Amino acid sequence: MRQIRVNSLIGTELITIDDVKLYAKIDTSVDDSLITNMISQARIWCENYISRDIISKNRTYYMDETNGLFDLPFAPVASVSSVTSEDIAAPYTIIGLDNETIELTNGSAFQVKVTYITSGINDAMIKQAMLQFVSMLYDNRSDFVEKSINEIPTNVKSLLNTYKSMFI
Amino acid sequence: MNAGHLNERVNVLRLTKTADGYGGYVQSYATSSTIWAKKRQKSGNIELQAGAISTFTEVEFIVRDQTAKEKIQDTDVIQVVGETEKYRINEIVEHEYKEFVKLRCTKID
Repeated sequence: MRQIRVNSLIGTELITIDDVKLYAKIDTSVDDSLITNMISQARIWCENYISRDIISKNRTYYMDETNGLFDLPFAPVASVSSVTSEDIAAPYTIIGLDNETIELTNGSAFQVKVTYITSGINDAMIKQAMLQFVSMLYDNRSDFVEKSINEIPTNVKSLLNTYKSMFI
Repeated sequence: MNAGHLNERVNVLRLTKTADGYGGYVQSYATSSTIWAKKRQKSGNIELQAGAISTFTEVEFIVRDQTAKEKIQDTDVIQVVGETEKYRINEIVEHEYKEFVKLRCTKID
C-alpha cells in the first residue's frame, strides 16, 4: 500500500486574476472571486494530470514496504524533512537532479514515511495551460452545450504532456 | 464563442454636457470605458436619398454579457479604438452562447 498526503500549501498560484482577465478579455470585476476559485481548480487539475506539484507543498509519503530505493511523487523536491521506518528515523541519501530519489542506507524497510517539500514548477508552458483551462472554465459553465459534451481542451493536455509523470 | 474572438478594443462613448460659459451647454462624446468586443459587419446598403448616394452600414458588436450590463447604456455610441467611425446602438440582444450579447449598431456620420 502507498499513500500520499498534502500537509500544507506553501507556494502561491502561478497565475493571477489580472493574468486571467487579460487572457480571457474580461473587462469587469464582478466575477473576480469566481475566477480565483477557477484558478485553483485549474491548477489542481493540471497537477493531477502531470502528477507533479505546480505550487510548492509540504507532503508526507507512506509505503508499507520498500527495497530501499524509491522515488518521491510529485517531484521536483526542494528538501526532505524526515524519513522514518516504523517510526524510527532512517538514514538515507538523496539522489538525482530533482532530489526525487531516496536511497535508504540500511536497504529494505517497512512502514516508511517521508515528509518533504516539493519545489513546484514555474514555467511558461504551465502558465499557458492554466490560462487556457481557466478561460475554458469561465466561458463554459456546464458540461453540455446544446448537444455536444465539453471536455478538457486538447490544447491544455498537449501543453502539459511534456511534464507528465505517473503516480499510481 | 471563446475569448480569442473578442479581438477588437472598442471605446464606449457617452454624451456629456459641459457649460459653455454663456448659460448654455455644449454636448460632446466622452469615452466612458474601453472594452473587448468582436465586430461583425452585417450590411452596407448604398441608397439614393434625396438625390444623394448614402451608405447605411450596420454592424454587430459581440461583448460579454456582464460587460454590457456594467458598462453600456442604450444611448451610448461605440467606436473602435484607432478608428473615427462611430456606431449608434439600436438593439442589445442575447447571443446564442450564454454569457455574451450582441449590440446591433448603425454607423453615424
